Amino acid sequence: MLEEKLKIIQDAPSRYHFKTKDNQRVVIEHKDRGLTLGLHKWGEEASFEIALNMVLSDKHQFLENRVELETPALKLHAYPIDARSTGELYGDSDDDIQCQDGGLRFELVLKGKPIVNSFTIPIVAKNLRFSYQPFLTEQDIAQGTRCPLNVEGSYAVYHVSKKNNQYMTGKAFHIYRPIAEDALSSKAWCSLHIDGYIDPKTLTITVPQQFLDEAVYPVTIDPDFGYTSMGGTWVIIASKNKGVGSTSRKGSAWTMPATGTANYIRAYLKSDTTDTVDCKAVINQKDSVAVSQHGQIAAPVENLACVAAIHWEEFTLGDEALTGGVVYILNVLGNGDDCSDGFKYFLAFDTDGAVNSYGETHNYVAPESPWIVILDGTTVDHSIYCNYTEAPVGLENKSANMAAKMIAGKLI
Amino acid sequence: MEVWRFIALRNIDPYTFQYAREVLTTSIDKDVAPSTLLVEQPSSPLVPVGKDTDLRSKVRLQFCKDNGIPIIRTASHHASSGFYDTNSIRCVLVTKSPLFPSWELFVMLFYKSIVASLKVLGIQAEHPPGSNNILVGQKKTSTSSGIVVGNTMMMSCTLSLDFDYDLADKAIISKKVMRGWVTTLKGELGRDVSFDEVCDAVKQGFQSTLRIELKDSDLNDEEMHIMKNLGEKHQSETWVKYGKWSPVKDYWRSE
Repeated sequence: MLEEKLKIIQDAPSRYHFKTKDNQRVVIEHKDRGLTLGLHKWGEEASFEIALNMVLSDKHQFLENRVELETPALKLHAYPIDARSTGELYGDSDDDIQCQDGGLRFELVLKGKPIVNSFTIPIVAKNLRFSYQPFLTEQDIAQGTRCPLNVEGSYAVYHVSKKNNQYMTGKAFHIYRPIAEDALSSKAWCSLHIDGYIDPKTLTITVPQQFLDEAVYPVTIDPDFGYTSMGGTWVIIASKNKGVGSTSRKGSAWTMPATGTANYIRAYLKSDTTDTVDCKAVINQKDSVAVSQHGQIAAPVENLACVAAIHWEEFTLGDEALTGGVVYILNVLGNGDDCSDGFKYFLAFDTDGAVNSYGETHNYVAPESPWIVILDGTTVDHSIYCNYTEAPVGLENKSANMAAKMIAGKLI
Repeated sequence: MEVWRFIALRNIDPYTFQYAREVLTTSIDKDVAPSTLLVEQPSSPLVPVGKDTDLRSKVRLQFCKDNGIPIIRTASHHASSGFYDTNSIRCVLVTKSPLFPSWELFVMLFYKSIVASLKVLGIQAEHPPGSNNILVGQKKTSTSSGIVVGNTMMMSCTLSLDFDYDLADKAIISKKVMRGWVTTLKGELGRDVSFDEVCDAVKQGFQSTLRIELKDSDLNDEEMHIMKNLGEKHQSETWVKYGKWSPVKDYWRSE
């Protein structure tokens, strides 16, 4: 029988787990008198463990799909969460859906005013990198970049080195900026800090002191850890202003792990109105012609009338050969002429990519080939990924290897 | 015959003027208020913009700042800008009545009611199908907008008693010079028209077209509470500048 998603199952007296909607395992354990949370992705390949040591008790409770610990001063709950919108969560004027595959929330309840306003939690990560998502600058906003308020000051968590195929964009989770809420429903953003890009040791949540001074207690602080493959911020790839359409071409570089052929590219797109927009996807090879001149490997594949609603847009490729060890740039662009005046079409991304990223205003009708563009100052992980088929190992190689093995094994 | 609320808000602050529609749409959708016709007039000029308006390309920001003209961003998804002065009168119809089984019918009857109201005043106007303008000859006397929230429909349009064209051209960046294509009640009738006269004409026009009875009333307590919450949002810097807001206080964002 298939396990129900986002439902806690007790594995042992002090150990529980639930499965996310994309079938990843999340563990909640009462260990060393505290609660330890373990988030896994891609089976056991990547993981993130958080030891909630600020509430220590010999006893815990498991009730109504949550695990709880309590002391005279504090209470701690940990439980699964489903996809939710920013409008529902904290009244954002923009309503973005997050945690598409579900996730985990812990709630720390301060029954009275604490002595400190900061909680530093030990963490252990395996095969993950933690990218801080900065507050948007005036320039970002002027360029039309959009970001939910709980993504500013948050962390996007990616596989340390892998993406594409089963890894999709390489994104494991998103750790959203926590909110503190008092008994009268006054709310304040907390700050979040993780002390390392790779192999961090601590996660710190800081509540504004002024809020704690003025709050009516109890105060609840509840960071969300959301499973998702999509970036949390949006950049324009098509727009129209004063009747003139404009196109931007955006892409991220990635090193092909093995030789193969390209099946399709997916990009996470949306409109800010009801426009459907023609879009193209291209594969270029980084610096293949010269520095900053990227030869075209897969000719632009055009999808007409990409829908307005947030979605993965799939561009079917033509089995183009991709060579192991070569750096390719997967990129997309949208037709600004399809936008209504004043409106835009967006591609999702997270700040701080593991590899280089590129973007510029472009000609939609005739995308440059080779693409001549220098890399961005700040690298980003655009929510674009490729599905490819690895080339099988040749029979002659197998024969040669088999002969060598037999000799080495003194079989011949 | 259905009995609806009629509310007249004269010389109200520009923020209340601009988001009273949102208040009514919210309250009626929540069933805490009945169907309503609102007529309102601001006490000072304002520049309304849509949720997606790029302020730098649609508004003369420094002029508005120097002259105390508030820029008020609405939740409506459009990217344009407008201008209202103290002679602007807005008519807002909000309902979830079964009298209107479709949005299309609601919109048609709304425009018909506006044309009927102008006729009471002595102005021969028309609404070209598919347009959101009311025309007198070649000139526009009113522009309109609407929204559906749940089962609740809202349409609004603005009539100008008179209009400060020069101030409008200085405050917003527009493709056309307003003087050539926007007309006013004073311009068409050759005399001053009062707020009360417009209210009477609008009441007659809507009552006869929609076959409803309008009873004078006020915003209720729940609506005043919604108004207060919306005020926090609409006057926040992040909402005006960027069209984003939430009730969560941010102590960390740099100034």
